[in-house]
Amino acid sequence: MNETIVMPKLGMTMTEGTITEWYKEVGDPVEKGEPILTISSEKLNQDIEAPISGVLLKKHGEVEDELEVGAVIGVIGAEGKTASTETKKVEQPHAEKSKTSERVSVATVARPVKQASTKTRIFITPLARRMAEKENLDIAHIKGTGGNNRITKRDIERVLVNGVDVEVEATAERTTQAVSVDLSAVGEGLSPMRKAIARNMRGSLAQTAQLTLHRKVNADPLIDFQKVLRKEIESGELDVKLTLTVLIARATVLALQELKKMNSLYHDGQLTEFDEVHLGIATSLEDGLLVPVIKDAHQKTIGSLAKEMKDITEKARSGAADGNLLSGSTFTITNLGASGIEYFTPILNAPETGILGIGALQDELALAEDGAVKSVKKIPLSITFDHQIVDGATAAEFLTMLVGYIESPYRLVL
Amino acid sequence: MTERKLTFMSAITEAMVQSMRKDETVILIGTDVAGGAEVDHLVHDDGRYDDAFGGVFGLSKGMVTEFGRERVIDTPIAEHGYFGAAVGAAATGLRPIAELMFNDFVGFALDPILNQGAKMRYMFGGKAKIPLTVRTVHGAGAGAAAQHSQTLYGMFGAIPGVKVVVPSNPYDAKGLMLAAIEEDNVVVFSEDKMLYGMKGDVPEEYYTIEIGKANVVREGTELTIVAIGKMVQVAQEVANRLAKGDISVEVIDLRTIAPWDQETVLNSVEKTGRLIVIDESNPHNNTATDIASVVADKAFDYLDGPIKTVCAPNTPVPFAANLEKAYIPDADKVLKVAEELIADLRKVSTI
Repeated sequence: MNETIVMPKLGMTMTEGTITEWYKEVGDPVEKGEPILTISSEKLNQDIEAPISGVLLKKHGEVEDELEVGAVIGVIGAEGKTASTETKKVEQPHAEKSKTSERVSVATVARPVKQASTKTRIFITPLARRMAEKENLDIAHIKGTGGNNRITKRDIERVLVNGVDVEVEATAERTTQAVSVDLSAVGEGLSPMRKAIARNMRGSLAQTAQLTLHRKVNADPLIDFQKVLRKEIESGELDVKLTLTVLIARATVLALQELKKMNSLYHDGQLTEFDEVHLGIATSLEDGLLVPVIKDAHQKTIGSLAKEMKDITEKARSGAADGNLLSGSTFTITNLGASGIEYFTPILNAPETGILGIGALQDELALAEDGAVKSVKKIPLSITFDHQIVDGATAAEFLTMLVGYIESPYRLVL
Repeated sequence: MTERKLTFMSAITEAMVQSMRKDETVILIGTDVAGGAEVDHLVHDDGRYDDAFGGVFGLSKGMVTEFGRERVIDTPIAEHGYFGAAVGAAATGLRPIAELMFNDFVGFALDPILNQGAKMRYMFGGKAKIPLTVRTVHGAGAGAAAQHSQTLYGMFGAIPGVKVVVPSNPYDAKGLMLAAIEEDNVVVFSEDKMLYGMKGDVPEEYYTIEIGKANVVREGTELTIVAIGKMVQVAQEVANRLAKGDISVEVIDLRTIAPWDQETVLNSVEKTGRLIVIDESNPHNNTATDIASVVADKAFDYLDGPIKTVCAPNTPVPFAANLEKAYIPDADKVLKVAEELIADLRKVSTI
């Protein structure tokens, strides 16, 4: 039996991968589990192992070829066997050396190339279709509100009655469509990671209504608290450093559980609020950025949050993060404090609804109650939110909750 | 017309009695329909007969006393035999009502119905009429297990030449029974045993309800629910519950499942654009799937969503009470299925 190797899907958003290196040549023997080639996608490099022992019979792409997820990359067979019948079919016409040979070679070359644009099918009921045809409406510009997002009679009626509405919706549709078409070209010529970042960022800006709120929080209580906890945690068996970021992450988790609207994903016309918090931690690399995820952050103590944050960021930096670690977040934290940045406007890690930016800790002069001037440590916070899903008041409420936790840090362990 | 309440069961008895009084060619034949009354060894010394039960559900109680053993005929437990006799009697001038105690026993009675009764008028060039009424009982819910609880009217409905009537309430039961007896073709009259105790207004006088005509029991504009027999109650509950969310449901009591009333159903679907059919039969090759296929064909351009059927699962009827309850279609199941159809009605268009 021949076994095909296909382009794996390494993350929720991965649609294609690039062959970066072939370790084997056609005809080489391979052992089950032995790496045959390496691919890169979005943010990752991954070795692909032989599913069976045998001989590499066929390569369906060369280095730097981009293949869709699920596309066949190569074929492994028992020694002496030829590649699958599929390959034979392609070769047969070759033998005839007729005029068809040209077409065949084109087809063979075209194989790994991306197939016709994956235009999504529009679901519409027979009645709505008939009405749309009668009224000469372009169904591509009508939002379906029926089951399975079908366009129904009611949608047609809404569009017929509310002309403005049609305009709005039509433009909205068009923008998304235009962007999604454009996105395929975004990041062209960049490294796979930069390309993925380019697409994600452009996609995020195009598909959400982002707005950032800023405020400062008095960090003195948190710093005192950190000192107390450090003694406990760092003297224990846990070999971790308890950073302010960890404590703010804990505060974020608690605030998200109180305000679930901020802990939500809006994707394919569906808004999902989560009880669980999977916290993305933006991690900078030499030439890029990864967001490894602390899964089930709401179930973790401060100590284990600290440990996990260290683990995942190290993994991400060393290139050892797999697709599982880099996907599934419901909210993201990004910290530019180390670079002295105060406020900034983080871009949403779409389809999330919020991202928290943490700025640099700084000394400020403040008036104490008795009128004396004293020094206070403050941390600037920035929350970017999707104004489609929540309003400024909600985001402000979220920041206020966060400030509440940071200024009364004992609540973090309650 | 007086306001008089009768049970579903008594309405059927009254229909049989009235037709037998009106037309002396009407006879009743079946296992236990006389219930042993007037059998010699049951005669008391003073000449009185035991008051027999009259059928397994007591529907024909007292009838043998009024009409005699010549017209209310107890048979051995031999369905093939007495259904053969009933078909012969129908072909030669009588109007028999033959009772198949449970529709689950159809295997024993099928040949006379399927291959004789349903064919004679056709094969004899119209020279024979077969005015036979087959009374039988279907339905789960009584804890009667897999062999006495099935819903098989759809099997009869698949036979050309057989009309099948499934009443949903006492009024319809009487009117449809009298119409079935008057009908010159084989009519299967299928009674849901769970409806026997249902009470409703039933006029005392003789009246018939047209076979082949459905009844719109509730008018609505946004969703059509076609229901059969006791499922009409389920449909009405669904309609009530959806009405609270301002969704207007039209409920059609199919009354006759063969030939079912295409005109009424199609008109309704053309109005509402949405259709759910509730049928307690097993889910494949049944009346609901037949209705769905005809509507998908003839009203395609009027459909504003997929046609949904809500049926029993593809299993025998379970005996355990909780499983049996789960087996029978109910309002919650219908509402769950309805969700896909009414999603757009629920969404308030704000823009």
